[in-house]
Amino acid sequence: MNDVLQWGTIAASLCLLVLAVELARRRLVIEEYALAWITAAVGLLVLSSSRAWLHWLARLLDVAYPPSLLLLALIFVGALLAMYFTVVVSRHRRALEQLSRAHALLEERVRGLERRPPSYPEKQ
Amino acid sequence: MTASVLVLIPAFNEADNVLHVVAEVRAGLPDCDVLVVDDASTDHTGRVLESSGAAYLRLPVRLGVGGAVRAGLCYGLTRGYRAAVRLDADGQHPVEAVEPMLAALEQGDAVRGSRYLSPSSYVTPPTRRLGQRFLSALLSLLTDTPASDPTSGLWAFSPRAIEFLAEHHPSGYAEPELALLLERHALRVTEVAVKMRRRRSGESTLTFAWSLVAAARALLAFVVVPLRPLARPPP
Repeated sequence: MNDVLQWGTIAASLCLLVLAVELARRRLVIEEYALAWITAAVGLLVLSSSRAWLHWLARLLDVAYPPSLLLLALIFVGALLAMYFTVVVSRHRRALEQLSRAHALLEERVRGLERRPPSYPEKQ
Repeated sequence: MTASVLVLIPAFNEADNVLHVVAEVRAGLPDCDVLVVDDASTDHTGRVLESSGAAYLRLPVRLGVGGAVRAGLCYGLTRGYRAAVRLDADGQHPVEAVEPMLAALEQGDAVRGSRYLSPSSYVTPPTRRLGQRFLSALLSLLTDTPASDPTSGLWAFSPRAIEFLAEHHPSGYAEPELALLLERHALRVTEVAVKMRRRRSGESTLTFAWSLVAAARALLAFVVVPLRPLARPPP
């Protein structure tokens, strides 16, 4: 791996890291989700910083050109993040449905209470 | 007539413990109101609370302990309590600690109960204690005030702190971040020595894996909270 490529990937990883922290600082991303991006950025930073590890991994996976592993790592990390956030979105979808249901049921109860005349006795 | 102090008990899957905690509070603090915030428990905590006669909020979706405390503080704010005390529903926090904490509110806006200010029989696993010491050192550096027990969930809040935290209490296991957030907004935090107990029964939701996530979250908060604009100007 030549120096330009290595420094380029290190710079890109650092940019991703700084962006994740900045988005958390501005409250555009909550801390739990910013941590996922920070973990990914740190992983990419570690991989792009060490030629020895990259070459070792390339030998292990029988990859002729070690820098192509960085692209593979990027795709893999991107897929993992997409899967993680798909799980998060699914959880939020279920929560939204529960909240909508609870809200609708409460509204109906309030309407029922408002319709009762003031002297209506409470059920025992 | 509403009492002046609210004892707030966030609870998740504590059906076996919560009524004991409520009974202990009622016996030890008869002049305080109690509110349990059921954080969408999946066991029979909800049924237990229904039959207990205790005041409770049942959250329809799980918000985590931070969100549950925020909901309870909103309740406290709308009813004008002069102080709020957070106790855990697992029985770790002794009711005897509450009065000294309320007295300490004269000197500050928030009081944290610390297991480590004085010698006690409370035993913390070594790895967890190491993490706590690390967070404690960082927090003490960032806030200029001692923080001997940064992960303590035993807190008392003044009306100013209640008003602020009803909107801004951090989510998740956010005790270290809470102290930093309060200090940053000119709300003074003090500590009082307390003797905590082991949880009465059941398992903590804070497993080893979640402890690592909570620690990572705390470190991120230590970076971003000092850099954020203030949520509101200090009075």
